[in-house]
Amino acid sequence: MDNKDELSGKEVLFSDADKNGEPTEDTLSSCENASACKNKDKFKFSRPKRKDKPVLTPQQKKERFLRRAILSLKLFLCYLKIGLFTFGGGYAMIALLEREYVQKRKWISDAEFYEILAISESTPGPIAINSATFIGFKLIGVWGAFVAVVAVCIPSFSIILLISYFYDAFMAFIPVQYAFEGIKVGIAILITSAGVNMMKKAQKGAFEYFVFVPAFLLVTCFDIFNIDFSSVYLILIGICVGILYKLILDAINKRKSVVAVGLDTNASESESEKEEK
Amino acid sequence: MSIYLEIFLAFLKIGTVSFGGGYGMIPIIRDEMLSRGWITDDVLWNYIAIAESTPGPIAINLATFVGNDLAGFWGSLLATTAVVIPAFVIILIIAAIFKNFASNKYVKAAMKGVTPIIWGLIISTGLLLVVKCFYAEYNDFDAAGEFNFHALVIFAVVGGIALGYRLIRKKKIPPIALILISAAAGMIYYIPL
Repeated sequence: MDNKDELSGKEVLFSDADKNGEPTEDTLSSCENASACKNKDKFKFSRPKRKDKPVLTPQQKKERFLRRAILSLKLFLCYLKIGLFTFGGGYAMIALLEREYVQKRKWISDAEFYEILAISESTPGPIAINSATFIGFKLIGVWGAFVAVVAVCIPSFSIILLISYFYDAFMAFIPVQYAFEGIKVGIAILITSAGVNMMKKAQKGAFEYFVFVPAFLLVTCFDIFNIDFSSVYLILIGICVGILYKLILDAINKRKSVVAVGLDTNASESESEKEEK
Repeated sequence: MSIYLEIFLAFLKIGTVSFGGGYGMIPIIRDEMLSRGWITDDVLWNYIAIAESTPGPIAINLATFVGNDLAGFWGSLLATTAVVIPAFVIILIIAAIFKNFASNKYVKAAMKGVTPIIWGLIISTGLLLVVKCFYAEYNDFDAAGEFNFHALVIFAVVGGIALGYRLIRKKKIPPIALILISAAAGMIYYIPL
């Protein structure tokens, strides 16, 4: 009897150990580590799960609809204001956006705002449109993004449309023509200084100059000799060169770390980051 | 191909590759418009001046202007929509799906390659416009244009004011102020008193 009990007890213990034992836990944790290591440089997917959505009563649905309608109206008016009062392009808009959304209304946090700026700078399109889409989406979803973008476009669109109807009559005035002779010079100065300022502010290494100088010379030559080569291709080439450079740098670093067996992988990674900078 | 489709596709292309904000877009718009023969450099120049001195993103202003020039109201609506669509779609995808887009190493690498090209485009365009103030036909060697002395004087005055403002106030002169000053300089210089 005792023996049997002991045996059965052991059996129970064993089966328990099999179920919740160390081996399974170990594999799990190692898996987690591996996936974390792998995903370090990959995109993180952050899609909210549909299953967690609570079921709403009609009353709640109505309330939510109203809340969203009011919020989208506020968003619309706010972006209309921003579109109407920002002169001189996207960067002038950033200060206004921060004051309006981060400090006054507290719709988004400081960290989110800087994330939005970083994303706007690394995606194509006007910064105003990028940030409007992002903030609108964060607040009310796709509909919010649409509302914000339409609102930010309306002032400049209607103002320019109005001006373009009077453009020919306006340009027929002799004094205006003289004024525009002067403005030509002003615009030329403005564009050049904008480019030089962008370059001054950025961090520059050998790689940047190595790309900048040929690009500058090529664009200048194309224009002087009337060669039809779209700048679009130059930008695509720029993207390819950037990624290629990164891949080559990574390959070189990998070889180095293989040769230096004793080195910690983390150390070599931080080294490569330093070299990049 | 209908003109509307052509406008839409052209501005879709411009919206897709224009990194670096409004100034980054000017060289690309100029390139696309000149190569299609849609507008001349002089008209574009005026448009940029007006776009800079009215509110709103420069890209939207320019798209509206050129679209209206080519095909009236619907042209301008199409051009504006087309220039917005790529940015809108790309940001929506990023905001909905990717959490750490801007810190991804390949995105960073691509931006590292694009940024110097944008500098090159903007600075080259700016300098060519400066040269074009002095020599209208700088890229037509048979008709070597006369040197425009008036432009040089205006250049010196406006450039001097911009530089002086920068030295005294320690910040950049607002674009609209620069445009107003250069307009005044142009009017004063050309109108015989």
